[in-house]
Amino acid sequence: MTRVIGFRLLAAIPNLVGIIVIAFIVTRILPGDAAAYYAGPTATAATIEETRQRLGLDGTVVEQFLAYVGQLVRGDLGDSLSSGQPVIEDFARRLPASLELTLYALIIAIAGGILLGVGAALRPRGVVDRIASVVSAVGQAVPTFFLGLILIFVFYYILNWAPEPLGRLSFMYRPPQPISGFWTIDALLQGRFDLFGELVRQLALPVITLAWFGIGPIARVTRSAMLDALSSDFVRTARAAGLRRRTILWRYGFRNAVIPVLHTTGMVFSFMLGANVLVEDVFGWPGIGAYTVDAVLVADYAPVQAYILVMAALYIVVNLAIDVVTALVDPRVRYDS
Amino acid sequence: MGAPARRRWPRLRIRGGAWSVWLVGLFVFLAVFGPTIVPYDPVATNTRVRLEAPSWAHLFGTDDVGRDVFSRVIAATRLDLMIALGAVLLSLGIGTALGAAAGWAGGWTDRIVSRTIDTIMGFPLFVLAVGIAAGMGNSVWSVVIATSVVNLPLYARTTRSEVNRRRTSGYVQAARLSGIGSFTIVARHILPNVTPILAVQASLNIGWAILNAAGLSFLGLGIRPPTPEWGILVSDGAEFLFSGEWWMFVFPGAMLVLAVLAFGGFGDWLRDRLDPKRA
Amino acid sequence: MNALTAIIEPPPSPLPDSAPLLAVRGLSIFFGGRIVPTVQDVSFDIARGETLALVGESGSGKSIIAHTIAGILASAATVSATTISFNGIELAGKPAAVEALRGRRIGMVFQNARAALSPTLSVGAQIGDVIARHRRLRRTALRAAIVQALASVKIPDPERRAKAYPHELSGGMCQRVMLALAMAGEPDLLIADEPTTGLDNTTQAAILDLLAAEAGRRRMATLFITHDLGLARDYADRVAVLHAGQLVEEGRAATVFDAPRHPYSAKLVRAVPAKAATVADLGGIPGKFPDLSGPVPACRFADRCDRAVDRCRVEVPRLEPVPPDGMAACWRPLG
Repeated sequence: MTRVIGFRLLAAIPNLVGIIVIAFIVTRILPGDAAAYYAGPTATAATIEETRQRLGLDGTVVEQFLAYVGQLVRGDLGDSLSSGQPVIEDFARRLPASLELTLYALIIAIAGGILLGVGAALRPRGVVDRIASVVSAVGQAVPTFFLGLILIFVFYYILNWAPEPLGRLSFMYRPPQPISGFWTIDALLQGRFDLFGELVRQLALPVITLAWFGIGPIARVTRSAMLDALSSDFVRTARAAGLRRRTILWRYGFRNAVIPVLHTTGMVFSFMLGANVLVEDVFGWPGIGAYTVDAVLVADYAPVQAYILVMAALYIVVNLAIDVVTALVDPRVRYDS
Repeated sequence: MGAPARRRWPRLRIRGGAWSVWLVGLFVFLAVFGPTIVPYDPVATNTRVRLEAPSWAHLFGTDDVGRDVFSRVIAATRLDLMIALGAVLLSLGIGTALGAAAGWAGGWTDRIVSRTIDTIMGFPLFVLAVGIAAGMGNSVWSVVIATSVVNLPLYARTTRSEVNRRRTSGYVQAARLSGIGSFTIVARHILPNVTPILAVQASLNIGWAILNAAGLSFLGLGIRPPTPEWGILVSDGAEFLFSGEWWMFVFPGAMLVLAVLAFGGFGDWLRDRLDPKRA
Repeated sequence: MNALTAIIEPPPSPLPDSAPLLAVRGLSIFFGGRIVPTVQDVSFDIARGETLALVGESGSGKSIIAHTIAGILASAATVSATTISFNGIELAGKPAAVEALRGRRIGMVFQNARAALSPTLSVGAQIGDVIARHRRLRRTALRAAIVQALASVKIPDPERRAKAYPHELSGGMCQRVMLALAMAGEPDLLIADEPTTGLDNTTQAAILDLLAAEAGRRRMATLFITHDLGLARDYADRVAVLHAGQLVEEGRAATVFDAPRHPYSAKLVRAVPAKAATVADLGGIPGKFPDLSGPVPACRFADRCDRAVDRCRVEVPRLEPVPPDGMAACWRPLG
């Protein structure tokens, strides 16, 4: 198993290099003089020149790239012009908010997608199958931000069930002491159950918005993989051996359907990392997506560069995790690498 | 982790029927004639009719400065469709060229192209699009290019594998022996076989491109107000959601949904017609 | 199993009634709303400790019959039977009754064992699932039982093999594993559905010898489904010949092979040049299998038979005793 992880980590290195190159290129396509831009609006010719040297912008492209890599190695993602802080500090503060939102959405998408998919496979054209195709059709045609706004309009403005969609917690509550950065978990750890409930209420709409788009694809892939597995020879053997229905369904059926589902989950996660920006924007969620968009709008580019790096790195990590789980589930994969 | 083959959204299950062809026709009509047939000037303000609910005079109501939402939504069709179409054509052209070069030449060309494509796919696509659009500043082009770059892999990969597969086939060998140049062989004898698959991919891709572009402009990237564009209209309208003026965000949003459905159905319809072995 | 009351009149019980373990009477199976039954009015018995070979070409319905008895037939089929009685328990139209027996009193092995085992569980885990279903065992006892089960089917180094996955084992090994899996519930009846198809001759013999030894040791009845006449002759006590869903002849294996009474059996036997010939490569039988989606002659062999008369096409022949000790369903039996 460690061998599998080692191989996959090695295989991820060229990807990482490519990602750093692209992040580098994205900032180089900035129009105008980058040094003048980074020196800020009040810069003089002297400070611009000083900035140029400090950022290594006076060298060749290769030198600049190496300087950039050197910065990254030191954990320096540059400074944000608008907040005046190192980007890495702003990110560290806001990343938990983004992760809490995205991971809950991912969990709900996986659970919902699998349940709908298995239900649909047990009764093709049945009620569950119909529900799954409606959810999936909506997910494909409705833009993320529009769905978020509709949910806000219905559940906040009309029904008044949801709290005001402005961030992680209404200003009337005191946030929990940060331990994990996941406020729901921190609230539970500190025994503040009323706060936990409020946090869940606040999370509900953005999580549903984000999860919605993952449920459809996961349900669809689960359905077809389950149909294949349930009609397989080994499920017939399990039935002939008199095993329990539950055992046959999950241990013999689903276990053999899980690999395509896992791969779809990787795709869904990629989509969620992107859609996250839109959802944070709609719900005023104080994560790195909303932070980056704010930065872009005032022409503050260091956060953008950091943002695409961090997101791509997260994506690599999740794919790695998926590969490891795949190898755990399917012994045949272990020998492929 | 190599390059896992996730990514493409499994497509719309609604069977592509004639309805989608009519709907696409309607969108094209609106894109061409929309600005000339709308009842009001889409950018002219009229403070006497601010924030009016939908009525016969203003089918979709009016916005905070008295512009007619219906006129703005219709007038936006041209821009949204041109962005989506432009982005798809751009990635189709460049992606096909890159894929054909990689598949035909092999070796280092192939390695470089494939690496680049894998790297693009190593990003969450919308994140990359945000990065590119942010880097390129405020213009329609930045949205078009951002949308087309993230779609490059789709076309490049298909073309690469098809060209690669046919490179050693008998008729290509024959053409080679009779002294026909590489470019001619690829363009005349190989690519026409790939055309149906690419056409279907491109048409299914338009709906996705519309969503991507609208998402970028919703965030305020690329296109700036007061230009009527669906994403911007939804974004502007969202500010009035809390005071109950729903029509400002609902109608442009619904138009987006309709456009995505139409082009998705059209792609399915085209696939059923051309049936390139379920690309 | 969605049984209707039998619409076909039961035959006048010509079979020996020395309280067989399994008695099947008037079994018909319909697929997908067809009017012509895929399996028509099939009756047979199996006694304790006896091996009955059900022989026929592919598509003759032999696997369908096996799946029906085990209650694992696809739901698209409609089954009707006068009786499917197992050890005195009526199974026809009683899915719950079959459910209770399946895996315990009735075991089953299939062909292509590697595909018939789950690729994502070790073979030990799969046998363990079956043992745990039937016996309450603690962890260590369960592990011992798994190793024991693998050892009983002559798998060398069973402790190590228990941890192996199907793709790591040979086809013959997988078949042994499946046999162990079927035996885990200590069944009274083993249904072996083409258990050695796709295996080489040596492995095939080893598996069947093992099966015969286990059956003999435990006085287990075996329903042996095969298209391989040589195997039927070597391993079965009795043989039932199936043609296009109709049982045409039944009797002691030696009798059927030495003096077949039904023209179809005769052609089958004659078409077996050497010991290991199979029905699949029969060249000698004229005509093709009747198409069951349309009307068929009463005796479904009539169009391929050189002895057929008008009566064969309009009246279904019943299984009647024929000398010396078998039964045939034919208006003009040989001999």
